[in-house]
Amino acid sequence: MKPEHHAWDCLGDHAASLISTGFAERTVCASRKAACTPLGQFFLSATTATICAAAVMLFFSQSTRVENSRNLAGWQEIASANDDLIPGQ
Amino acid sequence: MEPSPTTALVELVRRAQGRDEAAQCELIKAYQRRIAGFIYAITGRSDSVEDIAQQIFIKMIRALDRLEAPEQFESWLFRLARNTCIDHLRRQKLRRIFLPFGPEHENVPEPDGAVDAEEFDALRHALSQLRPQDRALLALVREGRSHGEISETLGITVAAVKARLHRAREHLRQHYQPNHEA
Repeated sequence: MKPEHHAWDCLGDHAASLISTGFAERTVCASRKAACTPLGQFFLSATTATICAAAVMLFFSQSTRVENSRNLAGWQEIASANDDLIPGQ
Repeated sequence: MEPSPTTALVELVRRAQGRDEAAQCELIKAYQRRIAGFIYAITGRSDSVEDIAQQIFIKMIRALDRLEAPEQFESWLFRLARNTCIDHLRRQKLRRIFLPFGPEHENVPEPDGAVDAEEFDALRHALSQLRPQDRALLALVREGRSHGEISETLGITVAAVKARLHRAREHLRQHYQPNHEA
């Protein structure tokens, strides 16, 4: 038997005494709570993604509308210039 | 006929894998003493044993589904414990870079009655002189892990395990002096 064997046993006993009563039950309970976290993270990610998608769509529709009205105004200008060029009108 | 301890353990692990909380609780109770000793041997700190043990067992419960061979549960659990302890020490080291850390924080005295033997104190001192990886190696051997299992855990060859173990034991012997003040 190695001289430090008894010391290892003392070390193990001391460490075991640091675990308080009800540790296993508390740990299972904490694990149950921790298990909810990924679901919470999923909802947070889903909400963030939805907000981002909505913001992109809003920006896209807004810029498309502005672009369309600008194009329409341009075409109207061309059409009226064209009308002026046609003789007899 | 009574089931063998291994069969009983495999059965318990299977039940725990099936999200049976009573089985998970039983599994924790069966290993909490050994895991606490293992953590203490690596970290050398009384104040963090319970916290780290809880982290290990929570990881265990959450990762049990992925354990394909329940008969290898014990070596799997100690691998998980070893990695958690090493991560904890790494995080602690990083924290010390950002936080002012004085010697008074480093050498928190053990509570009264904790150090009840000169040999124990000498072993604590000797272990503190080793690298965390070597402390983990000695603790794994102390827990009855075979050289093959340790080589799998550390991702090194059996010959390398033997060499490192020999070195770690030599260092421990050099610093282990129960008859002198540590």
